Amino acid sequence: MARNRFPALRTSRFRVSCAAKLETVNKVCEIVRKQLALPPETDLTPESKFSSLGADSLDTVEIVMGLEEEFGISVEEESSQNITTVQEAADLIEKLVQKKEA
Amino acid sequence: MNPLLRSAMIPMNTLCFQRNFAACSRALVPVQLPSRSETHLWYVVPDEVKSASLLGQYSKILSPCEKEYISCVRGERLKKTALLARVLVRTTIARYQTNGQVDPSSLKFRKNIHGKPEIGIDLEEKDRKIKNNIVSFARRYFTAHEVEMLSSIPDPETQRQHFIKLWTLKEAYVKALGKGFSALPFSTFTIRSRNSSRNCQSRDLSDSSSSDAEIVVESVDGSSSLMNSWQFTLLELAGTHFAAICVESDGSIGGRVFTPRKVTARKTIPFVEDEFHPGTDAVVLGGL
Repeated sequence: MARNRFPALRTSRFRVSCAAKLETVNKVCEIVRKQLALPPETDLTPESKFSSLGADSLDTVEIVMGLEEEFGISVEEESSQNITTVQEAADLIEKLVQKKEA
Repeated sequence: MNPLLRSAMIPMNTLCFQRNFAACSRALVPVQLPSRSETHLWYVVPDEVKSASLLGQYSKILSPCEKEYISCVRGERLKKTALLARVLVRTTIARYQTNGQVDPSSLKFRKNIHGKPEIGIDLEEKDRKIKNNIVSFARRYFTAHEVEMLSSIPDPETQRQHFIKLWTLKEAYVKALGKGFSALPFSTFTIRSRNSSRNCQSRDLSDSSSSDAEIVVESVDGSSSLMNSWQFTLLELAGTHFAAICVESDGSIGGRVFTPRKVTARKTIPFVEDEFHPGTDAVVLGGL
């Protein structure tokens, strides 16, 4: 009955474990903080845009390289334009890790 | 006081304030457009702009869209550089208008996805630290030739500086093409030095003062048509930054005589002062 009242639950997205995404987001935040040398009081959320945090293109590429090494994935250069926020990076990582493990 | 009268006074005060501001500081000094073989480089040093009231005046010449963008930027330092960058663009363009004084706030910019800028520029701090291992980074993103060049530099500091120069040159190139890193991966083209006697061997990297050296781009797949189409200038700016400029060349393909592009750099604090120190603020580096 709950599924009828909440149609979104029928979609497969909700089957993805939320805990895994949080862990990925946290790791991405850690790498971003380190690369941009952010002061500890800087608020970093999944929606945080790298450019608003002062990242230039070299920073973004360094972040992507750090993520590749951390998660054992390979991010095509073409995809790097889609990594503008912490959440976008985490989503791409999840996608590539799942593809790798498939 | 009658509220209607009071609100009518506000625009008058603003106008008076603007006139006072213009009277007590310099107006934008108009400049002649550079010739085809020349490039003018204008820059601001944020740390030299300290006055809060000046920054307030700068905000007034931005568009609502630009102000909106800056409000999303985190931190005072970054907000300031975002503001100064946009003010620099508006005031610099306004200087070159030949048909009378142009109000920099009246300029409207449009993004054109089809237009190619034909000039690209990138700047990096000379002291910028690279978090990843430089050769690993180059293996991942640059070409084999560039990896070889970087690996052959024994001193880590010289290697780091060479990396920064290479990065700015590659960025300037993809920007000139109107593409950017994701549309034109850095592993698809090599940037290197070539001396005017067309000796294609690697140059001695300590000999960067040679004015015979030319910086060229070549496609990794071997097509040589790129090389004579683009002209690069590498500069050391204000003693703190490397700057790379890439311009579409108007020379003919093959048999072209290399003539270095003339770049004049001017430091400015818009509406306050302009400085032009040829040969000291901006030093052209002969090769890579």
